[in-house]
Amino acid sequence: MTTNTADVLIARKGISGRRRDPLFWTSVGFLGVVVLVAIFAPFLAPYDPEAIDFAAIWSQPSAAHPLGTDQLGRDLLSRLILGTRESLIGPFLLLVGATILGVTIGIVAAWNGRWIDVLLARITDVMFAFPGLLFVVLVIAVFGEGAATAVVALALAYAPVIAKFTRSIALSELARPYVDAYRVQGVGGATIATRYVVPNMTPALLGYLVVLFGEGLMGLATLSYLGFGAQPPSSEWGLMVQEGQDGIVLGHFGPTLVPGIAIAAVVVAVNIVGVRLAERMGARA
Amino acid sequence: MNTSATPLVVADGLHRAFHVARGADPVVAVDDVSFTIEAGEALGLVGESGSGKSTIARILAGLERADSGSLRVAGIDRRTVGHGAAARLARARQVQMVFQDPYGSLDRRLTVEQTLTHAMRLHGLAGGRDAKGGAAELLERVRLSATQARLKPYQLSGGQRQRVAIARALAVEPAVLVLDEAVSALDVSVQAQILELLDEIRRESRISLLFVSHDLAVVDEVTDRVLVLFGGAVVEEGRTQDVLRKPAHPYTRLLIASVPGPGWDPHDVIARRAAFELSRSDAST
Ligand SMILES: Nc1ncnc2c1ncn2[C@@H]1O[C@H](COP(=O)(O)OP(=O)(O)OP(=O)(O)O)[C@@H](O)[C@H]1O
Ligand SMILES: [Mg+2]
Repeated sequence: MTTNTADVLIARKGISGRRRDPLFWTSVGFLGVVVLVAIFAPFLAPYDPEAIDFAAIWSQPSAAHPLGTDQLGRDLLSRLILGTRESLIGPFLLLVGATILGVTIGIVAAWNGRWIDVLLARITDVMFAFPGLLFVVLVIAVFGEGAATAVVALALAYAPVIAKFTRSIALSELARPYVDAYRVQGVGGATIATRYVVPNMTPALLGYLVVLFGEGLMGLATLSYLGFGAQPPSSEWGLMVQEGQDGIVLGHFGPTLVPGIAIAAVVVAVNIVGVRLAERMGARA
Repeated sequence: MNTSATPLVVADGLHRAFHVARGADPVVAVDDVSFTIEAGEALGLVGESGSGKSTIARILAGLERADSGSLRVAGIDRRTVGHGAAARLARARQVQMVFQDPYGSLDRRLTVEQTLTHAMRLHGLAGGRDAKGGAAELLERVRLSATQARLKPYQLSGGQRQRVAIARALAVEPAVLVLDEAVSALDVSVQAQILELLDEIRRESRISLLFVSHDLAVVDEVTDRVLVLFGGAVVEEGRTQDVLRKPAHPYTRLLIASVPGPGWDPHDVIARRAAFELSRSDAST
């Protein structure tokens, strides 16, 4: 068998090509289904996710309860389905907030350097040296626990990371002569940044942000697990894991496994999509 | 030419130094440079790499500031025009620029047509519906077809991109067009086409050119007068024909001798360059 560089390149191209990337498209399809489930959750759930049934505590999967029930006899499938909403909306809002803040700071830092740049560098230094969770717990300690605070706290923790990444892309983007061409044309700085430079950076940013979504989902689930995020009777997945763990010693793995697998599956799919997107966009630029 | 009226562009004693590193001596890029450009005239800037050509071009285009000296276009000081959007646009209509890199100087996200209509709309030169017609006219002027209007930069050749860049500059209807090595990245036959195009544009309108190039043959063809720069300072100036055929200054002679041709010897050029440098440092001490 002979292989040369061209063959390898063609093969590679095939992998990143549109149709021949089953892993990517499977992940996209899976995430699409998850989003649909979140949208139509109330219609899909066979039971009220908060309906307690002491007659069916820790029941095994059956026709009545396809995934079994938890320590309060609540239907796990219904809780999983309804939990999709809070588990996805949280990281989404967190990402939107962190992106708006981070991209703005990153571009301003790249554009006119000086003190904003120095300040950003210091903040990110501190953020990187400081365990992220500790910072978030600090914010929660000040503002009180709850899903909203958890989202805000994580958004504040992610913003400098996004800002740093944006800054590095923006620096090379701003060095391109088309930016000078817009300046010569008389376009104002803010317009050049928002209307032309940011859209040109989106391909490079997109994959990174998608991966961050997965991280945000995990971060929020962790906070809920620790009791800082979503509060009972919510069926947020992290909280479900925490509530279900009492059953582990008694041999009831379902209540932790079901939400745990859901978190893992979504995060893995999101990572695959994010990394592939970054690769494709990189290849196109 | 009417010599009693003030020329369109009057640069007087321009100076620009760059502070590269803290504690290091600043690099003097432009050293007391004065010149004028009449309406409809083409002024050439020649000199070796690092002699300050681009810096002068960028000062005229408003991309770089001068530390001292004055620069007037149509009697208006470029520096005192003010900061608002109206002032920016007024400055843009005085001077437009075409950059060396035809790959980087166009916004890769926009089609050719969008590039032109954005510029025209910005300057209110084509109200809404007319912009497309205006773009079509401009494309015709730079000899690009209507089908090419819908293409994006990556779908065009280097020469075609440079035509788009020229059309974009003309869209603003400037009094002065600055071309910084605008044909240097193109092969000889494409160069010839672009030069022909510039010639035609000059015959149609009384646009003035500041033409920067290290290629003396091209400068000879395009420009009426020329400045020879060395180390940021003007060492010789005059009508292009005279300067290139009867160079008065030893540096100009060296530049001309440096052009590869029959009997050209790189070692000889390097030796003469060193001798020239030496004679200069003797003169200054
Ligand atoms: N932004 C900058 N920061 C620091 N130094 C600069 C900057 N721009 C130009 N210089 C310096 O100023 C000098 C003149 O540069 P300039 O780009 O004007 O030369 P040039 O004649 O256009 O050269 P080339 O033919 O290579 O394009 C060089 O020594 C260069 O290093
Ligand atoms: Mg240059």
